[in-house]
Amino acid sequence: MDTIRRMWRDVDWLLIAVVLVLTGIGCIAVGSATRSHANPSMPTHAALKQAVFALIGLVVMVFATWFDYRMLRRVRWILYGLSLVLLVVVFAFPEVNGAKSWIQLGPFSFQPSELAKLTLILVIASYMAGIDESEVPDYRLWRWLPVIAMWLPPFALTMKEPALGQALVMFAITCTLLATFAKTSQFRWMTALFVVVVAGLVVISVFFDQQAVAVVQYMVQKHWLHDYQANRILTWLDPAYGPRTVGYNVHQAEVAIGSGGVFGAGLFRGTLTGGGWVPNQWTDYIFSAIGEEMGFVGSSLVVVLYILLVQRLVRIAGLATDTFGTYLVMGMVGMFAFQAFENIGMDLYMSPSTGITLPFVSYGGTSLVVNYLCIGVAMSVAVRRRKLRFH
Amino acid sequence: MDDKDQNPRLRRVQWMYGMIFASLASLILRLAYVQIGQGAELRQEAQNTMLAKLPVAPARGWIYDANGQLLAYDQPSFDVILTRLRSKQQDYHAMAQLLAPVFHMKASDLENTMANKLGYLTQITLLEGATPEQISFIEEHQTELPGLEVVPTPERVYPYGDLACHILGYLGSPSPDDMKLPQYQGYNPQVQKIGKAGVEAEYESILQGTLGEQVVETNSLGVPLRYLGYDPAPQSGSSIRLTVDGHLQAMVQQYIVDELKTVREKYGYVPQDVEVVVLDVKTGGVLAMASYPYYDPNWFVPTGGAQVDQAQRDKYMNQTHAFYNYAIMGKLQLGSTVKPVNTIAGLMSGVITPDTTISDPGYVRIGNDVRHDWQPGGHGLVNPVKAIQESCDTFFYYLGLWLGKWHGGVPAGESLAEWSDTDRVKGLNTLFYWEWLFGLGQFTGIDLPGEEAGYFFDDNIDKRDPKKVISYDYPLLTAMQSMAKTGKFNDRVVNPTDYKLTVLPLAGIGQQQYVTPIELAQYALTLATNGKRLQPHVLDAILNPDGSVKQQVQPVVLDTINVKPQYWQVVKQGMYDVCNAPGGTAYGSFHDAPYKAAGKTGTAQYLVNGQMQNISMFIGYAPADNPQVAIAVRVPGGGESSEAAVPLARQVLDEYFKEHHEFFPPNEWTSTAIPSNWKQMTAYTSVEDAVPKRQP
Repeated sequence: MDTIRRMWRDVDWLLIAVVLVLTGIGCIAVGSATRSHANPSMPTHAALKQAVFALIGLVVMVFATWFDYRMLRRVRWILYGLSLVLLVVVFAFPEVNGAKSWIQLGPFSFQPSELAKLTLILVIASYMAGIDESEVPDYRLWRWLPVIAMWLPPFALTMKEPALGQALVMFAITCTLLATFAKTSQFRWMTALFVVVVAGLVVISVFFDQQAVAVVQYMVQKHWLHDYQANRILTWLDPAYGPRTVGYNVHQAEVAIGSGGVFGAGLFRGTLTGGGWVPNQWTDYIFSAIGEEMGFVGSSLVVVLYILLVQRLVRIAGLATDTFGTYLVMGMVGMFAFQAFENIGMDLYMSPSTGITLPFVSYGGTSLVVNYLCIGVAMSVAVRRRKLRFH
Repeated sequence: MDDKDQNPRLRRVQWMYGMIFASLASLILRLAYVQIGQGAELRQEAQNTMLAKLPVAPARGWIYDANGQLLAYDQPSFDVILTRLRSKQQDYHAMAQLLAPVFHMKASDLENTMANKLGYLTQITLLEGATPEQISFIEEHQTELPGLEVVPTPERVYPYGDLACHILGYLGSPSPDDMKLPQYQGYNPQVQKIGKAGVEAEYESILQGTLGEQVVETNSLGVPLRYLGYDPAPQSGSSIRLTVDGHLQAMVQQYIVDELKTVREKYGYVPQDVEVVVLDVKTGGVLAMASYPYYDPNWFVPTGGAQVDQAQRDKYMNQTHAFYNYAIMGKLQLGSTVKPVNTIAGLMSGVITPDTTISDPGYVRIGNDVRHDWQPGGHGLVNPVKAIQESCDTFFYYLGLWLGKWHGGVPAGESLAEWSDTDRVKGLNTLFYWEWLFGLGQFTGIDLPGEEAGYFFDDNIDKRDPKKVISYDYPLLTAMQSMAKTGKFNDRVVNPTDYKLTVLPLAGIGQQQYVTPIELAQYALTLATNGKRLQPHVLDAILNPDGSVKQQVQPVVLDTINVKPQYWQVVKQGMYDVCNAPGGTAYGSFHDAPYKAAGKTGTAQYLVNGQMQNISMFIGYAPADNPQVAIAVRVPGGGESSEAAVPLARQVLDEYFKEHHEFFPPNEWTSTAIPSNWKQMTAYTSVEDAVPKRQP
């Protein structure tokens, strides 16, 4: 009983509140985005299904909280191996929207790459914690090589599906973990590199967009890039590029978000959302529904919620009883932060468009349950945190 | 709490939180810019997405005859259109199953049409020319047929069926190939039809008008809610008036059918086709132009076409070649009808005079060849007038030979080969050039699509095989240029060859020339006007919406040919005698006409299915002293000229004067109205019966 009471006390209630509010907003947005049935691929009763998955997710979260995350280290290779097997098995299933990302079993479908992100975090976190725990920790650069080796197989398989977005998430996770793991000197130049890359992208996209377009087109000519890859970059660099064709999704999403104004059109009252005018507006482009119907107030609230989510997870990571817990949670931070930024950013021409779900909001059972599982694991770290008081 | 207890990574994760915070916070700044800064602009764009523009076909101009009778107009018809909604409620399979029996279509075809066009808000025409039964069925089952609408669409009607069919032409949807042509830029093939033949095609740009767009507000499901008007409004096409006299045209078509019956019963001839062209001598306007077999342009209009069996229609069209306007496309030898202009060629070049007289034994010997006159024993003493009147072949054999300086043989001191390349060519050039001046062997420039130009030809004989004759188009211009420059011309196509010696004499009687009936009519007109060659035309005026004339077509004088008046006198006397003097080749039909006609008969031979058949021809004008109309009649397979073409021409000219209340007593006068019993006349019924209507 004492354990339960302590757990109850140490649970991060604010984190749970953040996740629940995001899920609630998600259910409303999904319901609105699918209400027109304008497209045969739109699910029916999507909001209800989403809520049911959220409930399943909550149960999973509670179990994960209960479960001692340190036990995961023992089975990490089994889980990692299993997820790799599933990433291979997925190629035996038919394409959905041009990618082999789904395992279909009767009425259920499952996206292995969602699970693979989690097991990737697990094996890397365990490896890094192992080094931290060794007698003479060795942080030299060659120690990164095994990390890259763990990252490459799921990354390559996911790219092959092709699911560029999910693969990029794996890259972001790995980078986040390396940044957490690195020596201060290494972290400094990593930060410098990050700043330079971001600043470079901003400068190029704002001031040298025409030159960048020319470079991309040259790369297509040389067959270094596929047309569809180039189109994503081109529509990002130049919003006027093919708004009726290749840039249609993003253009429609931006129009929907922008037309929301300050307060939005009101729930279930957005014209573009209601007419199903934004492709995939219940999954990858769900933020367009939020932007149109809830306006700047609602959409910036969602961003604030993600900042809070990250803040709570970072706090848990900082207070973890071992660095394994820290790495585990930081991996999730990298995952959530990257997905939120990329998903919202692509609607606003801040990043090239990729297929990535908005955590807790986009329609999709696998993604939702896995996200709750992450929160559960993070909570498991939280309730076993360092005792700050009375020691 | 001391530093050792603290997580060694605490500072690191806080740094990283800072970076993530900055990244995510930048999203809020961007959101503020897009939603607050650009909000109004993007909201405007979002609203625009809800507006759709649907193409609206302009009203096509109507076509009137010379006396204001409607030959083609638009009437509302009903199309069944499916708007693809952005909705799952449209079950194409169920809709197709429901509609197929009512539309008389296969359900699978219908479903394919519905499902295979891409994009929402696209409109698909499922059925054109819906019947009242079909319309009421759709109205009764509206709830099961979401997005299905019955919309009024203008549809072409040709109220007199096959009347003037080859002049009017017909409409059809533009093909993908048509759409590549510059004249159809901006057309919408879904809603606009184009002229495929006749004046419908020739004056497409005048009749069509310009496409409009109907602005439609749709709800978020894409269902049209409100029609917001046109942007731009469709511009109606202009109506036009033709020179064609509907009454005369109807009677000409009927007389042709009657004449076919007569020659079949009397002589057993079954002509393949018949052409009659009547021109207004003052303007060159086409008063009537008929090319048998006829067709009904309504067969190509959806409603009209739906009433006939399309397979039967296509079979009829392919077997009879009714789509072919022989009057402007069919080229055949013109035979003796060439003689008036050849007389002028002879007179003007001085090889004959009005007094030249030959003694005709009934044949001419040219080298080893003998050419016979059509009349065994010949015509006795023949001067130019009599040569035309009795169509004396011998006279024109000589005329042709003399033009080539052949007087029983080549000129003294000239070899046959030299003669072939010099004097013979000169003779041919003289004949063909005069014929060309009168409009033979060239385009008349009539304003109908598909006109073909006649041509002249020369013959070579293969020296190794004298029976082998090689015919080829005679390059008149090149030959004349060569003669002017070098004094000779050689166009032998293979060596070793000889020219056929008989080419010159045969050219004299119209066996080396292929012409169309419209060329013959223009030639007759040019004789009637003493050398003023007018361009034949069917368009009389472009009309304003109120019916007043917007633009009147002025006669176009293509050429004025200078011929000495006394020579005109000779030729016209000959042509007058053809119809009015005993022994004239058309005297039998014309001697009792209340008016005086002038003309020339012609009979040529052509090969049909391995058999030589006669082409019966007549050209002429009337009245002879002050011509009003010029006429050309051609009946391939119709026997001698006097058997088919001449009687037919007589009937047509009679009809013209009865209609214009001249020469005939008032009790025989007719009006300019298209006969009220047209649809009982065999010229109409035989065509309609050939492609029977489907039983409803």
